[in-house]
Amino acid sequence: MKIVVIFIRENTELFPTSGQGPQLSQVVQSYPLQNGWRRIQISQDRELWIHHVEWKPEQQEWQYIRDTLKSVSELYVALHSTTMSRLSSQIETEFRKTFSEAQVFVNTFSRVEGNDIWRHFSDLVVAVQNRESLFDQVAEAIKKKLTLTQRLSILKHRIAHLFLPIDVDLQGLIETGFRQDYWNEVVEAYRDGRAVGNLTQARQLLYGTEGEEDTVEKIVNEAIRQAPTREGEINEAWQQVQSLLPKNGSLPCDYRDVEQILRDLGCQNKREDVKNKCKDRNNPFHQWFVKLNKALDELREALLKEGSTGT
Amino acid sequence: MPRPRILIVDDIVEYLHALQRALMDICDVDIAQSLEEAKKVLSENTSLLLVDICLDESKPGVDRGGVEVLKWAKAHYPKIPVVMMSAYRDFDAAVECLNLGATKFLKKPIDIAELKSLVKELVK
Repeated sequence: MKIVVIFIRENTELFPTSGQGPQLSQVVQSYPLQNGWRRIQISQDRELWIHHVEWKPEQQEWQYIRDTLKSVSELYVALHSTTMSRLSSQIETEFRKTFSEAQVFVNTFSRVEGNDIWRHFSDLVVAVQNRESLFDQVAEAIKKKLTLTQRLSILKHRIAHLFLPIDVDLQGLIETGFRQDYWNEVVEAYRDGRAVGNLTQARQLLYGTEGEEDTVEKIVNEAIRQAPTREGEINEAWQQVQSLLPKNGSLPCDYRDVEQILRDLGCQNKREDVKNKCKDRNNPFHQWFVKLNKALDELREALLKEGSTGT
Repeated sequence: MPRPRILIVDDIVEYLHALQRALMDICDVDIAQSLEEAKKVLSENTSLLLVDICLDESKPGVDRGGVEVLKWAKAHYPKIPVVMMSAYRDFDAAVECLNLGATKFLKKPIDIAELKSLVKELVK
């Protein structure tokens, strides 16, 4: 067997319930379950393996794959980025150790529209023609590892995702003098503390906790390991980011109002408070957010300067 | 003069809604998250197109889905002005978009007062 592609997800809901999801689910479930795996023969030397129940590497699923794939020469492993994040490094190490004679490629994927691994995989599962070529496209997509700067870009995008809408809403409110109907719509959009909760989520993306998903801190540490001579420069850029959104404690003095503004955004009766804070301090949220973006851009540029850290 | 109608294309739905709220007092705002959605909404009645370069959250700084929207719009509705936006300081992308016919390139976070002035100017 030349190539095997394996998808693993620590959740029974492998497929979304909308779009192509139900069809994919039906096709996959039409294949019998063998020791936790569903195997789809693509051609004589290509096989797609899918695992979509809780993964316990020490148990029989692992033994089964070890025994069955003894002679594999190329192995492509795609792990769902969210649900498998806790186990991803352990699984990668196990695969590399067990199949040391084979070429092993490990990558993560998400089910967002446009994700190459997910897109080609979805096409392959339902395809009746050109299956070999689709299979090779999945393998190619898994092969393409993200660089450190690409990983940082993804995290920066997620942080921006959290704050860009708030930034537009606050600017829009200021523009209209906090018009009541506008305020009502904004309160509805951020009810239940969603806006201030975004600070916690952003901290998670910067620092996370050990063993969980990718974080800016992990990327910085990897970059320094790859280019120890540039530790000072990378750390300087990283400290700038940290100073704007510390791991523990409050935001810096200049932006102390930001947290309160975010907290008040979902409260109907706080219109005057937010208005005054934005007026007195010339929209401190926007100033803070612009600085945070700039600091993340500078960190990315610090990583880009060193050829090896980009990989 | 009829109320201007603009189409905003971005992969962040909350951002689209926030821009919709911010621009609602000067124009009608349609939204789309992909080229396919944009194709369905864009029409002769659209006065302006505002497009993020990256339309794939898994490939920020790499994906150029917005450029495809720009190309498609310029091929089918060459008279509609297109303003591109990006969260990245990407000089090459900005030049590429301007060469493809974009009117302006904005860096996120966008200044809403500036955006409103730009919209008013371009939909005249």
